[in-house]
Amino acid sequence: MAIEFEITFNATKGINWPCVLVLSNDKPLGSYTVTDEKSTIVFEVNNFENLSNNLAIVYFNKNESETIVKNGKIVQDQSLELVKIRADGILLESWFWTDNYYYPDYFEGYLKNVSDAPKKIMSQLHWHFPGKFVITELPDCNNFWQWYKKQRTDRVLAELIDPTGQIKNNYNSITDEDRLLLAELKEILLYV
Amino acid sequence: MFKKVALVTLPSQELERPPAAPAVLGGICRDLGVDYDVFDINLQLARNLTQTDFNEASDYWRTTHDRPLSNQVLKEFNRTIEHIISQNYDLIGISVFSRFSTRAAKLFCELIRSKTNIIIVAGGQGCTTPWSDMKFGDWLLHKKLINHVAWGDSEELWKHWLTGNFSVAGTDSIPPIQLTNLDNIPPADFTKLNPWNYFYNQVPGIYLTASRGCVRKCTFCDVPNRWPKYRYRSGASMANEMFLHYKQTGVQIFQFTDSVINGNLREFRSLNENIIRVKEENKGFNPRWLSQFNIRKAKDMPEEMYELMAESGGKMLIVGVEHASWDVRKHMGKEFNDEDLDHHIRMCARHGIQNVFLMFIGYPTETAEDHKKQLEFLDYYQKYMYSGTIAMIRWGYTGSIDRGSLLESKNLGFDLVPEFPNLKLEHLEDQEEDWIYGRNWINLDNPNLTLRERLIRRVQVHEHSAKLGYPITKGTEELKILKIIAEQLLAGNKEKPNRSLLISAEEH
Repeated sequence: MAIEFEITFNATKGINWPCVLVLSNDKPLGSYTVTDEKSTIVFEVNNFENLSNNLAIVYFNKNESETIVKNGKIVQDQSLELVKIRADGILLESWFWTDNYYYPDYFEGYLKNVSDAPKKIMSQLHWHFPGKFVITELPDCNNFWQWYKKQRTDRVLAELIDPTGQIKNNYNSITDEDRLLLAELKEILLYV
Repeated sequence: MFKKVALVTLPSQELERPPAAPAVLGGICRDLGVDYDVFDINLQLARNLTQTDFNEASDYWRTTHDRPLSNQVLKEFNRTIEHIISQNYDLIGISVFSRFSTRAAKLFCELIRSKTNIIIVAGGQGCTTPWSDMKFGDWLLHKKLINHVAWGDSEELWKHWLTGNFSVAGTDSIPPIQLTNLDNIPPADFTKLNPWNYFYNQVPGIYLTASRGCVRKCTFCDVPNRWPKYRYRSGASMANEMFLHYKQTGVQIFQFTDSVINGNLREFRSLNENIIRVKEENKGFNPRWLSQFNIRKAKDMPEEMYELMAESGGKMLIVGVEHASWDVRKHMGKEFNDEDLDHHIRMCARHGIQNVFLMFIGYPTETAEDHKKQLEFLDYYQKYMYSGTIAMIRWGYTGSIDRGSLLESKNLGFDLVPEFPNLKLEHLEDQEEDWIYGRNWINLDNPNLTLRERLIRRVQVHEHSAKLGYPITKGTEELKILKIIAEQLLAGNKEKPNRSLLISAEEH
C-alpha cells in the first residue's frame, strides 16, 4: 500500500526559486522546484516497511548569492516555509510536522559570526538556510492511518478536562460496559 | 418589573460549554437592567459528586428509573434551593433543556415549591415532553409546581415576563409566535456562566444561535413543526457577537445551536466572510466553530466553499447523514445522493473539517439491502474515520417516530400501525416513550422490518462500527435504553406479537 503525500509551501525567490529533494527512508523520491504558482509538491511513498520510518525534505539550492542586498537592506531573499501536509488527499493535523526538527546547513560566513548556532531546531518551518527537515517515527504504510488516529486521539485526551468521564467516552469505539450490553441485548433478542 | 431573578439550569446536559438558555435570558435581563444570577446545578453535581455518583445520577435522568437517586444528589439540590431562598429573588426561571432534564426539573420544582411561594416559571424544549397524557410544562402547571410555562422562542416573551406581563404569546395556553428577526435579540451574557469552569478541550467555548428552523422537511424531524420558517441572523451581527464574547470571556470555540447553519447559502457565505473579516481585524481572535450542517448538492457546495469554511474556523459539522442508502435518504427528504455525500466527505477531509454523523437505523422503508449498504459504507469510509473527518458517529435508537414529524402524520404513502397493540414501551417514569421515540410500529408495506429486526440491525451496526474503530458517541446510553426496550418487548411478547397483523402485512 502506498501513501500519496502533498506538501504545500510558501516560497520566495532570490535569484532562483527554492528546490527540494524528498527522501523516504533515505531513498530519493524526486526533486522539485517550488514557486509561488507551483507551491505544492506531490509524491508517493511505498517503502515504509520498518517499525519506524522517516520522511525528509532537503532544501538544497540556497546559497549566499540568493540573498540580494541593496544599500545594506535585504531586498530579495530565497526562502521556503512548510505550510501544510496532506496524505491521500486528507489534510493532516499540524502536530504531524511541527513535532519534528529542521537541521540547518549554515553558511560558513554565518557560522563565523554565530558559532553556537543550533544544529537542530524543533518546529522550525520557515527555512532561510539550506538544510533538512525530517519527520521521524512514522509507521509502516499499512498501519499509517491507524497510527494517525491513535496519535491524534491521544493528543485530544491528554488535554481534555473531564471529571465525569462522559466526554472521554465519546472518543471510544466501545467500552467494556458496551460489550456487556451488546451481549445481553443479543441474548434477549434470541428469545423475542 | 422584577428586580432580582434566579436562572436555574438542570441536569442532564453537556458539560463542555455553559448552557445557552441562561446566557440568552441573562442578556435580556442585563439589557433591561434586571439583576440576575445563574445556578447551573448540572455543573455543580459534576464538580461535587464522585464520578460514580455523577454517572449513576446521569442514568437516573436519562436512561432508567429502577434505582433511587442518591442522598448526595438531593443534598446538592437542597443546598442550592436554600441558597436561592435566602437571597430574596422575586422570580425563578427554570430551563428544561430537553426530555432528559424533566426528571431533574420535577425534583427541583417539588423541593422548592414545598419551601417558598416565589413566582417560578419554566421553559425550554423539555417542557414539550409527553408526560402523563399531557406535556411536561402543562403537568408542572397542573400540579401548581410553577406559575407559568413558556412555549417556543422565549426571548420576546421573557422581556414581557420581566415586566410582570404574563399575557403574551407563548405563555401557558397562548400559542407561541416564531421570532422573525433574530438580530433584535440582545447579545447573550456569559459573564455569569464562566466558560472556563466547564470541561472544555484546550480552549473554552460557548453556544450561540445563528439561525432557527430548517429549509428541509425531513420526514422524521419535528423542527419544521417547531419553527415553520427558516430565520437567520446577519453574518456581520453574528461575527461581531462572537468577537464580543471573545473579548469578554476569552472563548474561542463557538458551537451554533442551529438546526442547519447553511440553510441559506448566500447568508452562510456572508457569515464565513464576516468571521474572517473580524479575525483579520483583531489579532489573537482565532475562532473555531461547530454546527449542525446540511449536506447539499455538490454543485452548490464547490471546494471554494469548504475552503472558506475552514478559513473562518469551521472545525466540526454535525450532519444528519442518516443512512448510507440513497433510496432511504430520498424517502426521508434528503437532497444529497451518494456522489454528493462522497464530495462532502472528501472536501471536509481536504480542508481539515471534522464531522459527527447522525444516523437512523430502521427507517420504515429500510430493506435488508439498505441495511447491507449501511454496513458497507462503514468499511468504505474507514480511512476518513481514522483521519478524523468522520470524528464520531451516533447511531441513535431504532426507527424513531417523533411527535410533530411527517412520519407521525402518516401521510407518506405507507401504512404504519402498532406492531404490538397492547405493548407500552418506556424507560423513564411518566414519559410516553412510544411517541417520543416511537418504536412499537410496523410498516405494512415492509413487514420484515419488525421491532425485533430493527433492534438486530441496530446491534449489527454498533458491533461493525466498533470493530472498525469508529468512535461512537452516546453509545453506552443508547445501548442501555435499547436493552430496556428489548426486555419490555420480551415481557410484553409473551402473548406473541400481533401475528394476525403480520400475516395480513405479508399479504398486503
